[in-house]
Amino acid sequence: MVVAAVAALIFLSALAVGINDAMIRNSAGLYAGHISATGLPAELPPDSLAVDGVAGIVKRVPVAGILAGPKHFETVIMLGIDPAAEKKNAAFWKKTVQGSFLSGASQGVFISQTLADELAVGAGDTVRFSPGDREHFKPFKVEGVYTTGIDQLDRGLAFCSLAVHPDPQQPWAASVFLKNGVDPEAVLAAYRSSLPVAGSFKSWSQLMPDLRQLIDLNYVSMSMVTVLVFGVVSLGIACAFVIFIMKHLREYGIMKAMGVTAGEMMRLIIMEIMLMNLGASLAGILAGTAAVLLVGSTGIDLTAFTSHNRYFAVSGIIYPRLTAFSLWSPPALALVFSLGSAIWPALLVARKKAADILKVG
Amino acid sequence: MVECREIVKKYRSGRGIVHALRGVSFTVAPAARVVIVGKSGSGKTTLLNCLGGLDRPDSGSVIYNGRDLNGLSPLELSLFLRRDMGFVFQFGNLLSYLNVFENIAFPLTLNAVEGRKKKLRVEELLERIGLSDAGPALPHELSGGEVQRVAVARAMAHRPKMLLADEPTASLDSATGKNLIQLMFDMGRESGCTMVLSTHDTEVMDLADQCIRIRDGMVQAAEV
Repeated sequence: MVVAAVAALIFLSALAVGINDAMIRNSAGLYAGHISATGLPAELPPDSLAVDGVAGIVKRVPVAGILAGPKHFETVIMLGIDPAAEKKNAAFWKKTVQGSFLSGASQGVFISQTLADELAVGAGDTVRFSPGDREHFKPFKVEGVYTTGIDQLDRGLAFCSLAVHPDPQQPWAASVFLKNGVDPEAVLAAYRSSLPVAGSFKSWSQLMPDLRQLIDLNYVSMSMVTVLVFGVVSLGIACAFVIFIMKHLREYGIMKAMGVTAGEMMRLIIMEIMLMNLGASLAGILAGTAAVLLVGSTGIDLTAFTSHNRYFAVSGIIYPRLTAFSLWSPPALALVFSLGSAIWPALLVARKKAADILKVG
Repeated sequence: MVECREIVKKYRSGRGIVHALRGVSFTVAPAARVVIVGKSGSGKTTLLNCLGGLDRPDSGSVIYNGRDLNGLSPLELSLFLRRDMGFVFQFGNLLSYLNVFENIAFPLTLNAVEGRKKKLRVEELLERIGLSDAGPALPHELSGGEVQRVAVARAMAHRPKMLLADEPTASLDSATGKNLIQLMFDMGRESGCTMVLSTHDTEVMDLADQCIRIRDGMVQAAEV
C-alpha cells in the first residue's frame, strides 16, 4: 500500500512539475522568452545580455505605423527581427498557416491571420507600410501568415527582417531565453548589476501573473492531493499495522513477561513500523523514479487535451520531471502518517498487562 | 521466599463475573520445586500470573522476599521481571523473528550483559539443553520439544531467582514432557532457582518438593 502510494504520488508530482514546465516552456518559448526587455538603446549589442544561464537572445526593433492592403489599412507595430535568431530561439514562426516565415533580408512581412483578414490579403500579396505618416509607404510582400490563438500576438503586430526595417535605430526590445532550470530572477539580478542602461526587464512571471498563479495553484492542488491520498492511505496503513501487531501480540506479551518496559515496547513497535515504512518508501521511490525516467524521456502527448489552450500553444507534450519536492514529499508524508497510525496500536500493546496480552494471544 | 496471602482475582467475561482465585494462600521456600495441580479452569494460570507479577490480584498480596509486588510501579515491576523472574509458557514461547541463539540471549540483552559473557552463557545453555548446533535455527525449524527446551534455556539465561512454568509439557508427548521437567528441575537445582510449575500430569508431583492442589480457585491441599 505504501509502495503503491509513494510511487504513484512521486509520478503524479513529477507530472505536475512537467505540466508546469510545459506551460512555462510554451508560454515563454512561443515569443516572449523567460525575460523580456524593452527600451534598450540602439547602441547596446544583443550579446551584452548573454550572461550565465542565457541560452539565446532575440532582438526586436519596434516601430509604430500603418500597414495598408489594397482596400483597407490598420495601425500596427512593425517589428524588425533577425529571422535566423527567431527560428533558433522562439517558436511563433512554427504557427505559420500560409506561405512561409521570413528568410534573410527579403522585403517581406510576416503577419497574423487576423491582420491578413482585416487587410484582405494573403501570402504572396503586397502590402505597404508607413512609419507614422501616409506619405512614405514602402511595399512589402506578405511572406507568411500565422495564427497563435493568443490575442496579443494575433492583433496589431507585423514582422519584417531587420535589414529592411524602416527605422532600425529605434530603441529595441529583447526576448531572453534561458537554459533549463535557470531562475529568471538570478539573470535579472545579473542584468541589474552589469548593464549601465535604462530599460525595463521583466521575467515571465511578472509579464504573465495569470500563468504564475496557475502554476502555484497546480502546486497547491498537488500538495492537497498528496495529503488527502496519504490521509486515506493512512487508514489502510493503520489497519495493516493493527493486523501486524495482533499477529505478533503473543510475542509482545512474552517480551513484557521478560521485563520489557512500556517505553521500550513503544520504541520497539514504532521502530518496527518505521523500518517497514522505510523499506516500503524506498521501494516506492524506486518504482516512482523508474516510471518518471521511463516516461520522462519520451514524454506524454496530451495535445488532444491542450490544443486550444494558450499555455500549450507550441506543444502539448508533457515531460514529467523529478524535483526534490516531488521525490521526497510523498515518502516524508508516508512516514509522518505511518507514525501517526502506529501510535494507537503501539500504545495499546504498551499499556496492556502481560497476562491480558497472553490471554488474548 | 514467596508468600501468597489471600489472593482474590475476578474477571469479567461474557458469562458474567468469573471468580478465578478465591483467597489463595501458600508459601514457597527458596529453591523449592513446586507443582500446582488442578483441572482446566481451576485458576492455575491466573495464580501463576499473579505469583509472577504478570497480573495484579484484586485483593491479597504476593510477597517476594519481603517485598509486595502490588506496591511496585510498572517500571519497577518490569525491572523485577527482567532480573528475578523467568517464564515458560505452554506454547508460542519463542520470538519468531529471532533465531535460537538470539532468543536465549534476549533476557541477557535486557539485563545489559556484555557481549562476550552473553555469548558464553548462551553457548553453555545450548549445550546444556542438547541443542549446541541449533543456535542459528529459527523457531519454526524446531520440534515442539526443542522449542520448550529453548524456552527453558531462555528463562534460565539470566539466572533468575524464580522460574514459573505454565503447563510447559501440555503440547508434548509424555516422554518428551518428562524429560523437559527433569531438565527444568535439574537446571533449577544447579542454580538454586525456585521453580513453580503448573501441570495436569500427576507423575510430575513425584519430582516436586511441594504440591499445591487447586480447585475452583481455592487451594484444596498443599502437600510437602
